[in-house]
Amino acid sequence: MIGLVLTCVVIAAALIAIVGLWHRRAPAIDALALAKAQYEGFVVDVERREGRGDIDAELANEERVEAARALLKAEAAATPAYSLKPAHAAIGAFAVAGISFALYALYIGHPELGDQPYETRVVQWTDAARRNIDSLPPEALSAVLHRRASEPDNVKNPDFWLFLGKVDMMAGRYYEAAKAFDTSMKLSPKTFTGWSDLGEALYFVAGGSVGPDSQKAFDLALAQDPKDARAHYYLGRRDLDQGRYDSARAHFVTAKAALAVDDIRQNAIAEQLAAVETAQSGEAAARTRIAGMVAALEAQLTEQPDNADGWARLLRSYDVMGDAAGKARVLKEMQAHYRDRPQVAADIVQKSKGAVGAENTGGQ
Amino acid sequence: MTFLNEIGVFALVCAFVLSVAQVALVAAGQWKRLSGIERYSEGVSLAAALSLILSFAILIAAFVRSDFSVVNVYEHSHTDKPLLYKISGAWGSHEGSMLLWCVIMLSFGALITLLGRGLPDSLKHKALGIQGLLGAAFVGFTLFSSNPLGRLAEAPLQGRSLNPALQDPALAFHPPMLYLGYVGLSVVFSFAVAALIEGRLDRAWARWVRPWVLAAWVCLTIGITLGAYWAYYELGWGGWWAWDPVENASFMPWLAATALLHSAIVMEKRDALKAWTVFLAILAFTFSMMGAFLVRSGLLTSVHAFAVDPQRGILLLTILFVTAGLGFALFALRVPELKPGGLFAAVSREASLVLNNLLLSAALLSVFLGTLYPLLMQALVDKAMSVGGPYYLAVFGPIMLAAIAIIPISQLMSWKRSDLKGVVQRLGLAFGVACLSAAIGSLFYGGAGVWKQVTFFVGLLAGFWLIWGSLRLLMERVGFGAAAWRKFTALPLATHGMILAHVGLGIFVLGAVVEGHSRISIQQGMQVGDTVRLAGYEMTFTGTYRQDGANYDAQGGIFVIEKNGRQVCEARPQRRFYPASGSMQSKVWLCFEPLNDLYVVLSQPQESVGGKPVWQVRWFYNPWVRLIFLGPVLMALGGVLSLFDRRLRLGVATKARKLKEAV
Repeated sequence: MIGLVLTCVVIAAALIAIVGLWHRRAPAIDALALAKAQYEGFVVDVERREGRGDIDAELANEERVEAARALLKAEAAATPAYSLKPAHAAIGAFAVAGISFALYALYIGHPELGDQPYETRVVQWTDAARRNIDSLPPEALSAVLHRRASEPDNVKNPDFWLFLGKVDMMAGRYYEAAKAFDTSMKLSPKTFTGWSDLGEALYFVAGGSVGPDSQKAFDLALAQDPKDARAHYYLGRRDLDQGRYDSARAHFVTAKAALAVDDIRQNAIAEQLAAVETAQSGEAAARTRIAGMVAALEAQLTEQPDNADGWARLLRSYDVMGDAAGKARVLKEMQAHYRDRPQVAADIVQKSKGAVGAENTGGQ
Repeated sequence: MTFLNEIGVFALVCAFVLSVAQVALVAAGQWKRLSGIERYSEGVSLAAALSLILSFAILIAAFVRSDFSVVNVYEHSHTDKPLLYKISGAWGSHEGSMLLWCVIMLSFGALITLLGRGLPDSLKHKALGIQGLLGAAFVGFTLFSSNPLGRLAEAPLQGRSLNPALQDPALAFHPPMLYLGYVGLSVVFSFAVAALIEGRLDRAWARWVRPWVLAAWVCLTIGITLGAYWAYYELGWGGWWAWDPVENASFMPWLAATALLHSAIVMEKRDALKAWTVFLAILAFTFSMMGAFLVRSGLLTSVHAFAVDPQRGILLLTILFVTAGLGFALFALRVPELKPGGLFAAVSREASLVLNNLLLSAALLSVFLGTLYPLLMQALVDKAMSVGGPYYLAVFGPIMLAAIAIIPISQLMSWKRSDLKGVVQRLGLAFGVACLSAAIGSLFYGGAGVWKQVTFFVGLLAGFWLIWGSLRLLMERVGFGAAAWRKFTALPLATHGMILAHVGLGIFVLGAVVEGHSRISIQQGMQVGDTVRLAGYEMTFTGTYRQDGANYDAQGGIFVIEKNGRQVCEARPQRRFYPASGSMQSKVWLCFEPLNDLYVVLSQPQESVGGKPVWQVRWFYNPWVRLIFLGPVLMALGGVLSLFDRRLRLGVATKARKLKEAV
């Protein structure tokens, strides 16, 4: 704090010194003398331009007259220069410095806050990690480990990279975690045990979905350990998202069985199992509702078959329900109805491939 | 423990207090008893500028040291960023860019002190007072509402990083250049208001002001060009100018400065257009401030705009209204007292420059309306609308075409009275060559539709007319034969600068016309092994690659481009993933043909067909697009040459010594 105050005083003094020094270095130029010097310089320039043919004699004369007028005006306006008394100058300087410091200390600044450059913090974290690694938050530990990643002992050490990946996962740095797991795997592909870690990291990198890369990682994890709970958990979530409820349930049940009873992850698996049940019963209800709507639409088309939009909607409905046999039957009926208008039938088939009727926000 | 950041805040406070003191000293000096005290404002302007430079240097240091206890650094930096972008991050935010604005503003105040020793004291001190007032307003705004060194008690573990689109060399230098231009016009504003207070507006004033206008104009030209080039190769849309309101916000001061530059010439040479010149001087900086307001008020949604709360926008609007209002009110009061200057005939260089000014002002008005009308409609009747390219092409285009048409004529005219018939005869050959060049260009690039052909021909004619017309002036001044080189080197630098700037404008026009008329593009899903054709070129997708960048991971495509069986380029566009911000960015690949660009953009791969991913690829053929960027560089170079002209040079030490000797 004392250092800060002293530095501020030095800065204020230096700034005030600049004002004083400039004032001493640049004494007031007599305005009249300045005007005379300018006049003379201007006339020389006009003559040079006239001699070179840049301006004609008339314009040169006009410019000379103009310059002379300005000189006369300066002569009339010339006043003696004012000199500030040293005491007044000192009061002014102290006022500027005092107001600046008061504004800083009372209103704007935070004199209690020192700098916190990243390098210094990493050094502090490294010291703390040496004393007690658990005392550091994962983000700080991740920073320390990343700093040490280029050390010769660590560069080719698959265990280091595996550990770094796990720390990055805890720090929420999924992309960096995936890269660390990938490095570990490349360093020791045969002994790599972090396939499900890698799959999990890639799952988060992809924004919470199992893509081809994470799928491959989970498959390899299950090849190593068919009861790998984490691989089963994420594959279960993928199946749940894709509506494959039985497969999802099987994955979650396997994961549940693989974990100890008091493992805190049991709760998450139980939640997912409940979600499977809810989704499955919800889908069954929706199927019943859709089947009712489809039956009503079919009855309507039986009575009034000349309804292209209706046929398209019906075909689309069977597509959505995944009822291929039903779709084939309706297609046959529709084609029979439009056998003399094959273009309409083709249009209906084409239309049924996209959103139809109420689904189509573009309007019909 | 060090307190560098807090010292930076203290230096910022000092700069504010010193700016206020600068105004107070000049104001006190108007009181007869204290007459002369205003001389201290010179040293104060130097101290204020140095104080603010210290503060800015400390902000840069905070970015370089990744000190996340500074809010601004936390929000706009990351430890993984390359050094250049850590430094440029200092002006990548609203707060940092405001500090840069203030640094430039106070530095220009210091430059008035350092370079203005040949100026009359009275005018110089009043200008310093106005500059101090502007400095106090903007530094005060920065300090009290946008402190760039605001602190966090506990530094977060990592920063949020800078928008990847802004991590680009062109954009690292674009804001400083633009601000040098914007804020350079503040000096002109200060001189204008000072002259209005003094009641002294004469040729000498125009002579003192011209270098400042020219310097600001050069910086604006370079700044806008850098921005356009960045938009061209970084945003991946194939264009370089979208008439985005934020782009227009930089273009309007440029138009005003261009008009001012030309009217200041008339005032300097002929003592005419006094009121108009001083009006433009006030207007140009008003547009600069309006640009600052538009990008910071939250009114605009743009890649350029800082997302800032409206309250700060209102503060900026207040500064804009007060300072511009002060300038225009003073102008209205003083204008009746201004004596009309030198008379000139309807056919004269002065008259042609007046016409040029009117056309530039009309162009400025068209851009102003196009920019603000949608904003006003949105604010007043809540109606969303946009004014785009077609409006500007229909309104701005013809006005600028007329302005361009008179430039070669104006260059050959004499002051006071000229002979139009004679000038037209002297330009006959240049016009013929321009027509021939435009006809050849039209035949070469062709195109469908008579109207399109006609507009294309007219556009080409405008560009060639400007170039050949300007070269005609050079030829007249230099001639042919043994003495040509001696005459060429003896020409004043300002004349070289004028010719170069006008040729540069012609080159820009040619580039814009040809690129706008003949650009073609194709967008297609491609798998490795696929080939597409465009404008006689054949592009084959030969493979993909990965690259680990400094703070990104890239996946790229390799495209071999051939013409007539000969490989002309291997394009390697990328999709970059920046883990710090979790965002993707397309990196365009440009293949340089002499004048044309083959521009390849890679979008993210889509669903796989037959096990191979399909990449969306956009490919543009942009003919003559290089000229769009070369032209403004030549214009700026012309401005720099003019700045070094002996007659326009700002007061330097040698002059000061001479004056001292004279005293």
